[in-house]
Amino acid sequence: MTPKKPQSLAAIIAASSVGTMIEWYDFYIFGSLATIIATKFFPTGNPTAAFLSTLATFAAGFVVRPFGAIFFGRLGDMIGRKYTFMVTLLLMGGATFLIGLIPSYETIGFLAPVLVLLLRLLQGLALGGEYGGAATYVAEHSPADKRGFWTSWIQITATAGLFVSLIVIQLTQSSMSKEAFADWGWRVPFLVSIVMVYVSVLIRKNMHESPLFAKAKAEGKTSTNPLKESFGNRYNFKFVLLALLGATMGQGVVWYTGQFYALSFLQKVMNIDLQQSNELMTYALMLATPFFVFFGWLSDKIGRKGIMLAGMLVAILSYRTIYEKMYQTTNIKNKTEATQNVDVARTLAKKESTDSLITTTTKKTFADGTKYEEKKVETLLAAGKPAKPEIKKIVIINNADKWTLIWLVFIQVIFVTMVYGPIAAFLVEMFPTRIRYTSMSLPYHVGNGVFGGLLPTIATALVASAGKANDTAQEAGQSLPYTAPYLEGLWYPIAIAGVCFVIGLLYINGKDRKVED
Amino acid sequence: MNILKRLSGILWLIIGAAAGYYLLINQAIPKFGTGKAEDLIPAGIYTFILCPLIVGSLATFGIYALKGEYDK
Repeated sequence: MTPKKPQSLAAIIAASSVGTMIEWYDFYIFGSLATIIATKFFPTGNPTAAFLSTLATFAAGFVVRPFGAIFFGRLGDMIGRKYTFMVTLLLMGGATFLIGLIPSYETIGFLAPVLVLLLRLLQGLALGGEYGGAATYVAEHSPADKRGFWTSWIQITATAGLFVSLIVIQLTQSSMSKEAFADWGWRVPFLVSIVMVYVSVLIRKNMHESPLFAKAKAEGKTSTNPLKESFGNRYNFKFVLLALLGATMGQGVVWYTGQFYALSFLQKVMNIDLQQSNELMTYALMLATPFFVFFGWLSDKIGRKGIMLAGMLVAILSYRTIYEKMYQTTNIKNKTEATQNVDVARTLAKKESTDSLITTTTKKTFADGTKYEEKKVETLLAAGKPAKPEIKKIVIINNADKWTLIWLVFIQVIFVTMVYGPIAAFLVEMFPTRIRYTSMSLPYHVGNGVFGGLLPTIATALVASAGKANDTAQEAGQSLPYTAPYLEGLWYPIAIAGVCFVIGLLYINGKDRKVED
Repeated sequence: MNILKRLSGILWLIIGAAAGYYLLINQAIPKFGTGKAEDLIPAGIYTFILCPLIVGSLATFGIYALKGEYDK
């Protein structure tokens, strides 16, 4: 038999990272295009319902991830890391490509959202299997004193995937009219995924199996039932629980607050123009991404636990201040109106045979260059009480505010890099080779997929509840129960990260660096 | 330190129960009552995903901690 050609660590990391990055890209284009997807695949009429439906689909994609972790983790511990994460890559690429081909709700009716949901679930399953495999594969190749540094390249892939998704979306948007993008252009980012997956499969095909797994397999020491060993064995299960409650749960909510809720807050609460908000996120992510590697490297020097817990603590203490500052930066109530630029246009159209629609568009320009557009659609019913008007607001911010917001999102992404940079090495070191893929994947995907992935839905619901409570109190002439209802969504990540911080501080040892067991 | 770890087990049991009560009584049940889609989705998430996960994991963790499973 010809001996296998040795592979450099850099090649191993590049092959693993590119594939994982593409999987994240596939996963995130759906979230980044949530607003457009809502109008294409869900019954129109109520934009909030459509948006929530999309978030729910988003959540379905996240909730299913732990099942992918269990299914592919088991395979990875039994047949090998390399083959398992090849399968997850193909599954993800195929599902993403097919989402780009589904006809809209207008064309095929309810089959459209059902197909989207099914493919989204497949994406979630694939992602659930991918991350644990890539992290384990790289960690099992890395020297002990550089494991944090090398695995942090895998940690970059999630942000890089989001970053690339925003770039591809922006490039597509800028290459066509707004109407064309809304009509068919949004499909392009889904379709190009197949090319990236093809390239990644070609690269991964030539990789060798992890040396620790290959050794365990040669010695007959691999597990025959990784699920039973991981979760049925009390000794291992207590570490699975500790990994979830003392690390990944808090890390997940910090991550999703910084990278996803921030975007949702910019678009849905602050009403910042879609393209501009994506641009802000792109800058913040680009500037903060190198810190994943920095904190991975630092965790090799000073330990992983301290950095991750510090990241959670600063996030808990500063979220409300950061989001209040974000909100007030573009709050038009704080700005001086250039009244000569107020432009009001009214149009009248027949909706039904007897009802009328009045659309009032108000455009304002402020002294600092901020632009504001409000479109109010009132339905005048021929009989009965007029319906509540639908109001759509768009704020186009000036350059100074843009950089203030980039800075405020950047700080949040720094918190993300602190909790997320060292976590792959941390999780890998918690579990033995024979059940590592399964044992580390489940807490990772429950922490990130469930606790983190549901964050936008829960935070949006908390903000909506607070807003409703204020409306009800106002109608009743009572004092408002919430002074800043837009900040209420933050209690969810603050509470989860708070519990996680205390558990991590008390119970995590953080000194075990062995992976050869 | 071991005593603190064990005693904190009670805290995790209490937090688990309190979280379950809050999610079901304060959040999910009132939302189910409205019958609106935008309320039903978070209500379903609270009841069928978050509540069992948070209560179950914190309760198990609390019991393990009380029994000294995490002692040095």
